[in-house]
Amino acid sequence: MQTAMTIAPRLSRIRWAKLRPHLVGWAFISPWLVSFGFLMVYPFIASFVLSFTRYQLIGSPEFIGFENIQRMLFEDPRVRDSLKVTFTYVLLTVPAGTAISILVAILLNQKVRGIPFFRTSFYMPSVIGGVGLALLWTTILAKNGPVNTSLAWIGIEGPNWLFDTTWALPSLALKALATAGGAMLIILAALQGVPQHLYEAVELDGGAEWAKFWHVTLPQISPAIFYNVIVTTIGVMQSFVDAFIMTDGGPGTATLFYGLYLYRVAFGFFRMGYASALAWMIFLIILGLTILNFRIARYWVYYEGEE
Amino acid sequence: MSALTASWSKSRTTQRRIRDLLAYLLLAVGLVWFIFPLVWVILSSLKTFQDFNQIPARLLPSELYLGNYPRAWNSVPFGIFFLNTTIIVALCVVGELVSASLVGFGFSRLRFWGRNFLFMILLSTMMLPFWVTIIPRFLLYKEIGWTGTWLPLIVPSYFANPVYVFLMRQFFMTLPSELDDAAKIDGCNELGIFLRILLPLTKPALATIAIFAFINVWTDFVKQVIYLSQESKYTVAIGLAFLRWQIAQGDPVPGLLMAATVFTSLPMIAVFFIGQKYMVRGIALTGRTGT
Repeated sequence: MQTAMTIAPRLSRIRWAKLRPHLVGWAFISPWLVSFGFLMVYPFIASFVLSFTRYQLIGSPEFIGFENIQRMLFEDPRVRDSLKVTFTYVLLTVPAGTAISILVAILLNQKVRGIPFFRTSFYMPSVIGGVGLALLWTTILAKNGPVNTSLAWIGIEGPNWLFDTTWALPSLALKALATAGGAMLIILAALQGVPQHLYEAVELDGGAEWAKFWHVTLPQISPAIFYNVIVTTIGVMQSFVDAFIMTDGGPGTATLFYGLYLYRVAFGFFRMGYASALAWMIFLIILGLTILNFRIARYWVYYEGEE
Repeated sequence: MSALTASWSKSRTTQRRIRDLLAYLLLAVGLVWFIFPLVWVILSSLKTFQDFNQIPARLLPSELYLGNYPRAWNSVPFGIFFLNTTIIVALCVVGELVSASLVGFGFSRLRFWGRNFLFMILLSTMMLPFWVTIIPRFLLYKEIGWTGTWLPLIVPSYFANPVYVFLMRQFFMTLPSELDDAAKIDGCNELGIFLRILLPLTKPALATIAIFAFINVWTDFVKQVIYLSQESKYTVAIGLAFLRWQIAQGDPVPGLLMAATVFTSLPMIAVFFIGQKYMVRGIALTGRTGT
């Protein structure tokens, strides 16, 4: 009897001592657990369920089976148009943006005077971002804006960029490339982390500059490049603001990004069921692209300590 | 022999000079590419209406005309929009700092069941497209009567943005664990270690998050345009878009638009100059930008 009375609280004390660190840990991360539940898991599942319904904010969602999916895949020409625009935009911006960010980062890694000034200037447009930068580029690309004026100097008559079916999308891509500052700084940080002794090893072997670049720099910064490719692809696939502000998707559907179309369906026409189906499709496409990127990465991304 | 080394080092300096010259040449090209648009917008904001109609377009304004600024400021209620945006941004920055430091501390300094697994999930949620969650989020906020208010813009920032959590975690990991052990021996519990020992050391990381959060919230247009519907609640970004459509519908004053672009970007440029050091450090620490 007496033993039972003394053991019971001791046992629970031991259990509590064992349990405590875990509870404390979960308590510290609880803010994230809440948002993960309510703002990630729940919406993620809910939008999947909504994909099979018709719901226009009045009444409750009505189950309609695969109607949305059928319409999205086979009947809605806007879906095909906007996917084409979005993929073209990815192809126009991601490879070129990656190349520019590497080039500029290498340039900013040179030991010449005034580098902080150049770094600041190159990064600044990415900071302004959003609507302001979109408006800025709207005037840069205007019919008698500075781009066309410069072209006129060399005898070329520039088009009305943003209002020309052929040129509207490349114009938006051009604008995107002028704001590659963030990616550039990531590569720059990676460049500054390349161990010097690797370069010295190449020098001892009598390697030239390009050998250093090809055999040391590029493999060493490849994880950072890979990260940029992943993130910019995901970001560009979801583009919205530039088309919304600069072209409103036009002329015609020349710059109708998938994100813009989805926004119109959801918050213009309030067709929440169909918009959810559209959202899930872009999610699956982005997921596929990301997996593809990881597959390709095996052939070109170098990780330290891996053979 | 000495003549030989002299000529060798001379050719070496010439080579070096050519290299530097080439670097400067390319840097100058980059400067035009990245910064010319900003210079252009500032110059354009000082142009008169007549200046805009000249063909070919002129680079410099014919006179230092400041009239676009007051006209732009008054054409849309920018005073209210600046006040609104400032309140939203301030509340969001506080929320991001508090929640990211708590969660970042948990993931870096404490051991608990499921920690690594949950952290993997946290990282992968950063890649979840915005569009796949926005519709149910909107419906959820509508259900509880939050649409049309600032709450959907502010409240989530109190529940830990994964990007900032990752930054905090990376920073906490650079601090020696002996600090925690010493505090534990002195009888500090986890909250004490967090508040009294580690948090004072994380000021640079907190500054980085504050700057990124400021810029992100200030320029975030999509959420603002989805959740806000009354003009009295509008933000600077919406005001700017508003002005754009007014002008698109016939008011032919590009100078106004440029002036508005300049004064709405000023807070960002100011923050950038104050906090650039922290932003660069944050990028070096995490290998990603804070957006």
